[in-house]
Amino acid sequence: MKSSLNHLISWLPCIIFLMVASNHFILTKTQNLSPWLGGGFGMFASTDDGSARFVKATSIDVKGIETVIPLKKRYKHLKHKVRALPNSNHLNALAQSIITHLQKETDKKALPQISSLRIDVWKTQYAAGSLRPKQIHIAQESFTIDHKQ
Amino acid sequence: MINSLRHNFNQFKQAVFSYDTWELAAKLTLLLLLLSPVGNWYIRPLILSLCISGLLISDMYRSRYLWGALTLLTALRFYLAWPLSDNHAYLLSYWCLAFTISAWLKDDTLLIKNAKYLLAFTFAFASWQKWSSVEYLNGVFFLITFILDERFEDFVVLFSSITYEQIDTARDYLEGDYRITPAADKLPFTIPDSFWWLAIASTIWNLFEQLLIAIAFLAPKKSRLGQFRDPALLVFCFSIYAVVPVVSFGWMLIAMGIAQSDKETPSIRLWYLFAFVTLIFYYEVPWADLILEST
Repeated sequence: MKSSLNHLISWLPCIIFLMVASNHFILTKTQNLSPWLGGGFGMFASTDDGSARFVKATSIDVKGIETVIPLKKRYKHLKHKVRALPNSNHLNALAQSIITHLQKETDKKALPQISSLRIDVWKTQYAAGSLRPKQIHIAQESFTIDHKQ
Repeated sequence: MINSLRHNFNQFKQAVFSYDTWELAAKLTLLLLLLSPVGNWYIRPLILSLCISGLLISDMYRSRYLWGALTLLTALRFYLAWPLSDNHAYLLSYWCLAFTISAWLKDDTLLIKNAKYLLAFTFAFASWQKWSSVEYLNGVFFLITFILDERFEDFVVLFSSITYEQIDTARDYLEGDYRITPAADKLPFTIPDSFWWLAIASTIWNLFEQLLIAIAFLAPKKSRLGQFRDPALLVFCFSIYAVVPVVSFGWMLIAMGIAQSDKETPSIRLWYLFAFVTLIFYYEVPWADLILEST
């Protein structure tokens, strides 16, 4: 019993390697994980890395006016996570961070309340031969802001 | 003078030959963590302190607690940054886990086994990712990377007839935001044939070399392909890291290479050590830039 457990433990680094790499494969196919990241050893195989992706956050106030939120400094880390893996968790984390900050700003400056926030993500593809770049929309999520809370 | 140098080199060679592969791999791993520190502000000082302890305190490099702590810290590093860590962050953690298990169960062969398969899987996945990527196989990947990745700038100017000005122009075109207005049909200049050939050669060589290493490490050691594993890994380290400045990844591969190397052929250990030192020069000396400046 002990020896078979030790045998299993002895393979643990390789087992974890294969599990993480399998998870990488699933996430690239289902949640647009960048092939460069996530432990699947897809570096230097694809141009679809974080720097070739665009993230845009747009707030919509109660009057319906849309404003693009600059995703700099305070949002940088969350933005990079969204670029790398634009799944619900990361989009939601970025949205909550933006909403919290925007609500403080609108209260302080007496601006119209924000009613919703939309986040879009694009990746870049390059045509064979001409290398012509094209941005492909890969994720969008909207978040409604409940002012009753 | 020459005799004295020869004597010193022989002494060095004997010292390397007398090293146990486990010890050498462990010390090189601790050294690479010191030379190329990882983690954020609260993980990095802990890792550095552990590495210094492992290198300076007698037999500490054998401690299962040292390797257990390094495994946890390196795993915490990529868990906290998920999914932003580079692939070698994951490999480093698996590698530290291999040391922990080997030290815990007091079985050196476990490190050899894990080193062999971690190397095999790393290259198998890297080559499979390339094989399954359309833009890798059609050459687009290297054409784009050679233009957009600044780390390759000097290399491509040196080995093709593209100019720095053309690279800048191409970057403006390729990095543009075309979400509303589509990009112009093609680049504002004709890509030189030599640049295309460099991209095609890099595409073929990388895939071939990495696939060969994966197969060599998966094949039985005494088979014809299996015997080729150390030379193939060494050629990879000597060639790829002259161009790709990911030195810590290279050092880790070398430490793994040493761990699984045959105890009866100590000269391989010497070659791995030579590669470890060579990578320092590749990383620190801007050789392509120096050649370009001198011509």
